[in-house]
Amino acid sequence: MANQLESIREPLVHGNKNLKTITNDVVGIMDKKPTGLWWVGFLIALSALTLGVVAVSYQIMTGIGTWGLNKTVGWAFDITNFVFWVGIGHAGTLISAILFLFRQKWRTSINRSAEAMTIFAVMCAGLFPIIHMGRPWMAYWMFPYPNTRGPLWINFRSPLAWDVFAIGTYLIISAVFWYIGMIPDLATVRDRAKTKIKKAIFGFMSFGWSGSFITWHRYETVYGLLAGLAAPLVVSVHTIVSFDFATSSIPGWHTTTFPPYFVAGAVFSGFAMVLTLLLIARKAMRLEEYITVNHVENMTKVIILTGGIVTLSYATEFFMAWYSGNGYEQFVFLNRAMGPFAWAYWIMVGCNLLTPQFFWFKKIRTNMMMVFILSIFINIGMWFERFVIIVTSLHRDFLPSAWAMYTPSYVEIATLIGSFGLFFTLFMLFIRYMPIISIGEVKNVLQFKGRNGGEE
Amino acid sequence: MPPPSSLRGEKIPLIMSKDKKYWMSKDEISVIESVAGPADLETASTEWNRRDFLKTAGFSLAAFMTACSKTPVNKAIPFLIQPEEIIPGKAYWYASTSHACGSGCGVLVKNRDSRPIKLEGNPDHPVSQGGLCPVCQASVIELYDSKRLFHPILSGEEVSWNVLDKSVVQGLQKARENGQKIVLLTETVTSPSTKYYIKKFLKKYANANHVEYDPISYSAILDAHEMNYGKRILPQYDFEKADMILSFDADFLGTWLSPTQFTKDYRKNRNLDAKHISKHIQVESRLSVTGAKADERIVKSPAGMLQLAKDIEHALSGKGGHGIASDIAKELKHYKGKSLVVSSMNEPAMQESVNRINHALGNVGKTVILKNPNLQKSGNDASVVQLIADMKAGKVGALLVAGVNPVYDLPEGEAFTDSMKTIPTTVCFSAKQNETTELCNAICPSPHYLESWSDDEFTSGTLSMTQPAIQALGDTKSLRKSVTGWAGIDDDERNLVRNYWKKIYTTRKKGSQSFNRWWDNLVHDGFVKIKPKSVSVSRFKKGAMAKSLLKNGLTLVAYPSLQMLDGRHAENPWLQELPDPISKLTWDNAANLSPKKAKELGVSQSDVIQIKASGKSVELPVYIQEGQSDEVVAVSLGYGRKGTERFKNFGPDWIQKKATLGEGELVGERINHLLERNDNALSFSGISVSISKTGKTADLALTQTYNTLKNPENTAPPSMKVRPFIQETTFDEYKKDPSSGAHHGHQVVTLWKDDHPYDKHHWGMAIDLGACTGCSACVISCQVENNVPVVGKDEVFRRRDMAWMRIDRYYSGEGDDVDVAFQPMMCQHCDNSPCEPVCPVLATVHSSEGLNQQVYNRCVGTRFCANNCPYKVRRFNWFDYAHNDELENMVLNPDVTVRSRGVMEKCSMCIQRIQEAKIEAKAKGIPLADGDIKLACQQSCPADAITFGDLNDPESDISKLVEDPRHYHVLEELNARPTVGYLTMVRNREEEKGGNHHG
Repeated sequence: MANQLESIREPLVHGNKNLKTITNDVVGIMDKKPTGLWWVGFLIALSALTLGVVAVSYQIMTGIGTWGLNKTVGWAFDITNFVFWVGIGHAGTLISAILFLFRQKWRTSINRSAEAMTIFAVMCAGLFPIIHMGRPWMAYWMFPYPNTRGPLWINFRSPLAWDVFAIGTYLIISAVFWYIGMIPDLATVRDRAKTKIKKAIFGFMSFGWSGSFITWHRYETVYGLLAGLAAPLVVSVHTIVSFDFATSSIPGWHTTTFPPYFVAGAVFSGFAMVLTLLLIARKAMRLEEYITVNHVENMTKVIILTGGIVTLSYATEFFMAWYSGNGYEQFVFLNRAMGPFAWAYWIMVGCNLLTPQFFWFKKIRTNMMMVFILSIFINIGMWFERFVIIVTSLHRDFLPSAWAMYTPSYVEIATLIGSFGLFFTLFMLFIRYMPIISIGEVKNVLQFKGRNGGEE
Repeated sequence: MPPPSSLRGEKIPLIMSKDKKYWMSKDEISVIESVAGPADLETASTEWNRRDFLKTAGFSLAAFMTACSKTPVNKAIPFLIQPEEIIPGKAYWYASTSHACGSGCGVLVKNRDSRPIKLEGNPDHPVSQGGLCPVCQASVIELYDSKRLFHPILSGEEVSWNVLDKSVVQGLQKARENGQKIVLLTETVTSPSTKYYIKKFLKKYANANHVEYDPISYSAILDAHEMNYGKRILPQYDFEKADMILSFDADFLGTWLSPTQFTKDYRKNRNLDAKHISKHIQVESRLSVTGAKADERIVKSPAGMLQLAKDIEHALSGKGGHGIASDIAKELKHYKGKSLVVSSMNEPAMQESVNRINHALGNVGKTVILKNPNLQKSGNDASVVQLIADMKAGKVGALLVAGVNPVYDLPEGEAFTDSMKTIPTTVCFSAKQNETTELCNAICPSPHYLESWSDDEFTSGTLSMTQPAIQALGDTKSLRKSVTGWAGIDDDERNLVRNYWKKIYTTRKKGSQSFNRWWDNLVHDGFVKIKPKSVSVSRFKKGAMAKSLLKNGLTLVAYPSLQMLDGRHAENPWLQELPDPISKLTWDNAANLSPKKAKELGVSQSDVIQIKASGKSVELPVYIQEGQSDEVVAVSLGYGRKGTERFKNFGPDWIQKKATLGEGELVGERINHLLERNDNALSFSGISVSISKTGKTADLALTQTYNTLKNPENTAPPSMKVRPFIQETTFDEYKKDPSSGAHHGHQVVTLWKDDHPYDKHHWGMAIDLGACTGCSACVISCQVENNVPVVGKDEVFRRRDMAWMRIDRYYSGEGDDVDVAFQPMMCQHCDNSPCEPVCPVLATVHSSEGLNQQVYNRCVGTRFCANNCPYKVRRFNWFDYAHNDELENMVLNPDVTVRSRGVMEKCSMCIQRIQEAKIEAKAKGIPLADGDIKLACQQSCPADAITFGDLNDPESDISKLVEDPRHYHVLEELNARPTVGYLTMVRNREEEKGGNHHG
C-alpha cells in the first residue's frame, strides 16, 4: 500500500539516477577543471571582495565618519547589512534542521548548499557588528572573559550582548552541523581522490570515516541531535537580532511584533537568496535533475507563507499605530510612507508584498526565469525593509530639532558590495571545492523510486 | 568653580606679575617662563602630543590612547621650590576684566598651572553680575592662537622693539616737520590711564589728534544726546527699573551695547512671584534673540520702524494716532517714568525720536541715566569721515591704528586702502594680521587681555581692573606702553596703570584707604566703585529734526552677528562653529529672506543670490527666516574676514571631505562695502538693494533643519498635530492658575522597584524656558570646560557637530505672528535612562548620585546608546577631532579627558565640578551647601535660566522648583525619569498668540 502511494509521488530525483551516478555527478564537479563561467563569477566576486576589504580597512583606519552616519542616524547600512545577512542565513538552517525534523525528504538535494550559504551569510553578518564599532580593536570586550578589572563583565541586559551569543552560537552550530553532515561525502571524495594531496586533505577532513554501520548509526544520531539544536536557532537568532530594535524606545522600533516579523522576514529573504543561488547553480552545473522544479516550487510556497506573514506584520504595525493613538508611533508610519524616505518604503512594499503574490500561480512557480527574477526583487525588498526600519525610525524620532537626513557614503556602498563579494567568493569556492549536494542523503531518498531506482 | 567669596583671598596669590619678586623665587619664575614661551615653541618638537601635555600638567592618567608616539618630554619641570600657595592640580582664580567686546564684563579667570583655561563672570561686578556671553567665554582660546603676532614687524620683517620704536618716532617727527597730521585712530578708549597718556602723546606731537570710532556704531545715539542735552553722551539704561520696554531694533539681550548686563537686569523685573512683570515690546525688521524673547513683537521695515516711532510720538503728545501707535502710546503713558525706549539704529532721526519719547515719558533720570553716562561707546562717525577726507587730501603724515580694522569695518575700505598706501608712516596695533595690518609698515603686536594690565571705566563710577593671568606669550606691548614710550615716558605695563592711579586716586576714591590698600583691593576684586565723573546736562532741547534716509522697498539690514560681533572674532573656531541662535547657521553668513519674499523672488534656501547696493554687490546663499519683514534682506556682519583662510582645510580628512572653504575663499562674505552714510552716521539698515539670482547653490551648515514643533503637513498624525515639548502661558493666566500651560499627562506608574536608591545626593537641574534668551553662552561655556572639539563646516553640514549642549529653537505661528521658543537640550540624566541598558560593554552607567555617566575608556562605539536616546543628546567622535596644535591645546581643561575617535560622549553634568566641590567640602570638613556647585552652563548664563542642585535636599532651589507647578519634563510619558526639568514659559501678553505650542 505504501509503496503504491510512493510510486504515485513525484520523484525527488529525476533522470533515472542510481547510487553510482549520483556520486559521479556530484564529485565529478570537483574533479573537473572549473568552467569559464565559474571563473567569471569568481573573479567578479573576488573584485567585489577586494573593494570591500579596501573600504573597510580605510574606514577602520580613518573612522566611522567615513560612513554617512551622523548623530541622529547612528546606524544605517551597517546594521541593515548585518540583519540582512543574518536573515539570509536562516533559510539554510530551516532547510537543514527544521525540514529534517519534519522529515521533508525533498530537502536533501538543497540542504548542503543552503547550509553553506547560511555559514557564509553569518560570516558576512558577523563582520558588521565588529566593523561598525568606533573602536573595533576593542571588540573582544564584548565577550565575557575573566579579567582582573573587577572582574568587569559585559552588560548582559544589552541586546547587542545577546547578539554576540546568538550570532556566535549560530555560527558555531551551523558550522558544526554542516561539517558533520558533510563528513560521509568528504570521505567519498577522499576515496575517489586521484592525487596524493587531495587524498591527504580530504582524508584529514573526513576524520577517518569508515562507512561502517556503527559509524553511520552514530552519524545519524549526531545529525539528529545537531538538527534538534539548530532548529530552534532559526527562531531564536533572528528574534534576538530583532531585539536590537524591539527593546529600544524609538517609535518604529519599539514594538513586540518584531520577533515573529523578523523571523518570518528572515526565512522569506533567505529562501529568496537560496533560490537565486541555486537557480544559477543548477543551470550552470547541470544539476537540474537534483534540484528539480519541484524543489523550486516547494521553496516558493514557503516564500508565499513567510511573505504573507511579513505582509500581515506590516498591516499589524499600521493598525496598532492607529489604534494606539500614540502620535509618535503614528507619525513614524506616516513619515515612512510619505516622508523623505518614501521611495525606500514603497520599494520595500512593492517588492515584499507584491512579488510573493506571483507565486500563487503555478505557471510562474514553475518558470525558472520568473522565479529567479522575483527572488532578486524579494532580496532587494528585504534589504530595503531593514533600511527603512532603521533609518526612517532614527532620522525623525521624538525631538524635531534632531531630525536629519541620511545619505550613504561611497565607503558604505563599497562595504555593502564587499559583503556580497565575500559571500559570493566563499560560495564560489564552496561549489568548486566541496560536495555541493549531500550525496548520502540524496541516495537515501532514492528509495522513493521503484526497486530499480528509476522511474516506473 | 571659584571658591565662594568667604574662602577667597585666603591662599590666592593676589597678583601674577614677574615684578612681584616676593611671591616667588627666581627659580619659579623660570619655571613659569618655561611653560610657554613663543620662542621655545618655534624650536620645540612638533610631536608633543596629548600625553606629554598631561604629564606636564603633573597628572598621570591611565593611557587610553593606543599607538601614541613616544617623544622625549622636555618641558615637564616640577617646582624646585614650590610656592606655598600653589598646589599643582588646583585651580587659582584671578579677577580681571574682559576686552572681548566693548562692554567690559568683569571676569574671574581660572588658572591651572599658570594657564588661564576658563572664564567665569565675576558675580560682584556690576556689568557681568556673574554671567558671561558666548563671545567672552570663547575668547580664552584666542590667547593660545599660534597665528597671533608675537613679534613687532617693520616693513614685513620681524624686528626688535627698539628698531620699531626708532622707526616710528622718526616717522612721527617727519610728519610733524612736514606739517602733516598725526592721527591716532582707535576704538572707544575706556581706559582712563590710556586716555591720559594719549593726551600726553598728542601734546608732544602737535598737530596730532585722536579719532575714535566703533565698528558697530552708536554715534547717532551720542549725537542725538548732544543735540537734545548739550553733551555727547551714551546713557546708562536701567532695564531693571523698566516696567515697560519698547525697543526699536535694539537686540539688547543678544548683541546691543552690554547684553550680559542688560539680560541680568531685564531678568530682575521678570519675577513671576511679583505683582507684575515688565512688558517688553520689540519692533524689528529681522528676527533677533531679543525679539524672540519679547512679549509682543511688531515686524516693520526700517523705514516703517521710524514711522512707528514718529507715530507714537504724535500719539503721546495727544496729536492723534491710530492703530498700534496709539495702543503702544497708551501703554507707555501708563508706565510713565517706569518705561524705557531704546533703539540700536544708527539713524539720527530715529535716535532723536527715541530721545523725545523718553523725555515725554519722564524716563530720563530713572531708566535713562544721563548724569553717570555709559562710557563703553564714544566713537564719532563724523570724525572718521573727516579723517578719510584728510587722508585722501594727503594731509595725514602718520596714521596709528589701534583696536580697529578700518579697511574691513568701513564701507570706504577701498578708498581707505588707497589713501593708506600714500601715508608715509602707518602703524597698526593688533593681535593678529588683518586687512589693515597688511597696509601698515609697522605692526605692533597687541597682547591678549588675559596677559595685559589695564584699567577701564566702562560705566561712570565703576573702575574695572584687568590683570594678566599668564606671562605674555609673545613680545607684545599694549597701546598704552607704546604711546607712552613714543611720548618719552618709560615704564612697565603695570606701573603705567598703577602710577597713574597713584597720582589721581584721591580725586576718585571712595573711602579712606591708603593707595596700596586701595590698589590691592582693586586688583583682588577686579573692580572698585569710584566717584563717578558726573556729567552736567542741559535741559531737554528739541532741536532740528534730522532727515531720514531710510528707503522704502527692499532694503538691506546689516546686523552684528552674535558670534562674530563686528568680525573681530572671526578666527575663533569655537565661535565660527557656534550656531546662530535664530538661524542655527554656522561657518557662514547668509542672506536672510522672509518666506514670502523668497517665494516672490523665486528663490529657495541655499540658492546663491547677488545683493546689489549703490554699485557694490555681494553674493550670499539664501536662508529663509520666519518672522522677518518682507521688505528686508538681513545679513550679519563680521564675516569675510581675512585670516579665516586658515580654516580652508579645517576638519577631518577623508575621501568625501568637502573643504570648509574653496580656493581663495574666506568664511562668509563681507558686506560692509554695501553700507551707506546718512550724513556722517554709518547706516546699517534701510539701504536700498536689488536682488538677482545667480543660479548657484551653496550648502548651509545648519545644526537644526526642522524648525517647528508642528508635524509636517502631509505626515501629521491625527492624534498629535504639535509635539508638546514647549509649555507656554501668559502672565495673567499664570497668576490665576500657576499650572496653566501644563500638559496634564498621566502619572506613570511602575511595578519595578527603584534600581537606584540615592542615599547621599541626587543631582537635578531645571531650566526656565521663560528666562532663556537663546544667547548660547552655555553652549560655549560647556565647550570650553569639557574640551569639546570643533569639527568644521562639512561635519556640521553632515549633522555631526559635537556641542554637548544645544539650544533648540522652535517657531510657532506664521508670517509676522511668529513666536520663538528656545529649549536648551543636554543629557537629561534620566533615572531610567534608555541608553544604559543597551550598551554591551557597560560604558554608560548610572552613578549613585543620579548622573548618567559615560565611561570613555570603556566605550567601543556601537552607538546603540545614541540611537536609543529619545532626546538625541549623545555625540559620537566620528573621527579623531582633537587637534595637536601645541599652543591651542593649552586651553584644554586638564580635569576632563580628551576623547579619542570612536568614543561616545555627552553632557556629564560637569562631574569634575561636582567632584571638586565635594572634595573641597570634605577636605574642609564642612557640608556641601546649595549653590556651592555651579555647572559650566549654569554659571555662564546671563539670564540665570539654569538651576542645579541636590534633589535630596528639600531646602535646595532645585527641590523647590520641582514642586513648582511650572515644572515639567520633556517626554515624561516615556518614563525615562529625566532629572533635567523645564519651567513653563510665561509671556506678558494678553491672549495666547498663535497657541501652536499647545498640543
